[in-house]
Amino acid sequence: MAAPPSDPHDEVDGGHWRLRAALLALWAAASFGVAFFARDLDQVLGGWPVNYWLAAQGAVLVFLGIVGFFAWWANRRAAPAASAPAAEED
Amino acid sequence: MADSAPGYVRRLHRNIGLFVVGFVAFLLLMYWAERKGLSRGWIGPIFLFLSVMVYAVIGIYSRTTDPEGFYVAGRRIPPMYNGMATAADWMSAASFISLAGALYLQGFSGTAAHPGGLAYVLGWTGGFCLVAVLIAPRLRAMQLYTVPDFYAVRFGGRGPRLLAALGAVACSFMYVVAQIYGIGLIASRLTGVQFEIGILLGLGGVLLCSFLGGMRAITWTQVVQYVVLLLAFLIPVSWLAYKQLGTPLAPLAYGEQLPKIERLEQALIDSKSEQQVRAAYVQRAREYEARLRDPAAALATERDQLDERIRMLKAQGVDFSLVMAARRELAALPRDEASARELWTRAMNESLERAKPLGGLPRHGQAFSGDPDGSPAERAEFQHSRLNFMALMFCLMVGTASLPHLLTRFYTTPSVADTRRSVAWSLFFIALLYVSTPALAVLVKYEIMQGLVGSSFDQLPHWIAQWARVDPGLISVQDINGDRILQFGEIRLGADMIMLATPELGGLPYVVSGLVAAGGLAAALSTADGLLLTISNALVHDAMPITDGQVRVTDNHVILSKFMLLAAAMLAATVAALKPAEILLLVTASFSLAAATFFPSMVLGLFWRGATRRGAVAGMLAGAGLTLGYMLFSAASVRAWWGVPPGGLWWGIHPVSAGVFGVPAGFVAMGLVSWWDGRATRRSRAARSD
Repeated sequence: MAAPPSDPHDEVDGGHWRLRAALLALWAAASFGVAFFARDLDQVLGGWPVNYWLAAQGAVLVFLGIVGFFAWWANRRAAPAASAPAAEED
Repeated sequence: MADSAPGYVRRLHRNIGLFVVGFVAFLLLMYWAERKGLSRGWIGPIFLFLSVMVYAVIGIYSRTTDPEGFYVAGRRIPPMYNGMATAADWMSAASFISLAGALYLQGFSGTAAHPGGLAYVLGWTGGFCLVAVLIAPRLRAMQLYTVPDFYAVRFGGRGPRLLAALGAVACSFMYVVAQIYGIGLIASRLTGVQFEIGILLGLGGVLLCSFLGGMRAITWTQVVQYVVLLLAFLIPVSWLAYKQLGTPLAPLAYGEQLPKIERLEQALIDSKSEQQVRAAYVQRAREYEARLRDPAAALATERDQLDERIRMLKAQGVDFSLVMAARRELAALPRDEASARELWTRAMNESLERAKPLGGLPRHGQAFSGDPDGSPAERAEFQHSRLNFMALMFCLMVGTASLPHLLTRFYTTPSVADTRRSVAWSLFFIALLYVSTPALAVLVKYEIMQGLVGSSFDQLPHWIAQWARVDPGLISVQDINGDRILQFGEIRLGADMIMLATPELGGLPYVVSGLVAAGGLAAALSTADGLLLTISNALVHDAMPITDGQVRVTDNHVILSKFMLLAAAMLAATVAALKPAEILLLVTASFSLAAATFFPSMVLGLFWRGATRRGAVAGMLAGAGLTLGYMLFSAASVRAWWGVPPGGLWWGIHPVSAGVFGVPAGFVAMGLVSWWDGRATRRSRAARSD
């Protein structure tokens, strides 16, 4: 699937194929995986029903982690290549 | 670039900071005024008019005729503010008004026939992973103005772009109708005016803003609207949590209410008076069934009885209002046999539904209906429920990564790196609200089961009557078993009013009600703004031919776009005034359609150089065609209209989740046609080189 390096878009948003695949796998596990096994996760842990907490809040936090990590990683890699001053505000 | 202009960013921080401080001061002032005796009749209109005025003033202040400003806000919005604007753009009336209600009614997952619940929370946040990892940065790098522009630049020709514009208009229009319905609902509750006038009031604000300033004005109003809707959500949730749990941190603490609700549910299921209510509903369903055996005769008997009663009342010379009530009942009878059949079938099904334990609501913490270890029927129901939950989640996620009004929001940042950061900020601002929504649903359920159920019919809180006046479909409370005590089975709540009624339910000051309504209005207005702009741009900008593979914008486009925006808003308001299906259903259907139309062609177009123009056209047609076809073919109302018995579902998938079939169909069609085209090109090239 990887586009060859001659693709003009790859200069600004190329590579990271393994990272992208890993993050999307994590995304699928946190959403579809949790949903599929929701009945089996019906236990109480620390006062919380595990399946309810995972679907209502845990998964959202995982998604936030995925998006945040990808932005940080890709921007750190892209910064020297684009020779633009890296903005480190978030 | 924003980073190179620290003065600009500092000015932004200062303005937004001033707004937040001013807004909080205004809330405190209103609270003080209420304690000093400001009437409720004033608080609602003050919130409505002031918030719409603020949005309009921002619209006027950031007015622009510059094409770059109108379409992409000059591409100079810092990532954090772009994230806030995206969050407001994203969180629609459905998120703010209906989501908490849906979680209340559907619990974890809904039922097999009505999937929902946490699938909405997961779907509307998980989609951002696809946006961030696959789509937004690449689209931003292409320097486009609209989503259909991508099709022009990547595939060339007019076909793909026009198709994409058509798809953008179709799904955005379906979505904007739902927003305007929400605006009408809130405005009419806040001011007591009619639903239709409420729509016009709210629309005035939308138009002033997007008409004058396009994307630039919309961005800054959305930032402000985000602040309003965040406070409007968190204040009642924290207040309710403080009342019930002794801490305002609802998302961290509501877990302890879940086992309590489970015990209350069990008590309600075992309760004698609840069982009486259920028996009464079974009885009602049987009566409707008897009538349905011969609707024509039943209708005639009904009419004769009412005529007889009116004659009796007149002969007795009783109060005129009683006669009028009987007359109204007569006029409300179905006109002919066909409508009687339809009405009574619906009434019978509703009675059957409410004859189930807990008035037909699933147990709150139970994942999926049915039982994986039970009888074959229970096992099948469990499989259906789980499959429908995942299908709905899939459509919402992929739809998130495809909806044009969301994707254009990521064109407005200064650089590709800022776009990546901006997606993360967006999800952060959305998650602030979404982790609290399940908490709110749980707290409200506890409040109703613990506080409201069991109270006497003579002292029902007055908000029930007020909401029933706005729309009787939103709430109905009836003493079914005649014991003058309110049972859980006797309450029927509509999903669209639970959030708006939360402050009254929890006994909070009326100012909080006004604030919640203003928040709902902000959510609906901000999304409507973005959608209307997308529609008008698709109709004007995307219908123009492009030259030498470059998209450009001109002043003429801007003026035309502005007028198209007015026309689209008016048309959407007309449709919304007809009060179509529920907000959530409309919104979900537009997600499915967007997912099937855009996602396959965008992903393949961005990542596979072999994707061709004809492939993109085939993919979009196959995806959208299959999705629309499945929705129309299997929706119960459409089938009833054709006179076909209900059914026709594939693997029991609900019609609104049709994107589950449309997305793979789009990928396959586009892949096959592109591969065929590629083979033909390689062959002719080989023939030439020979």
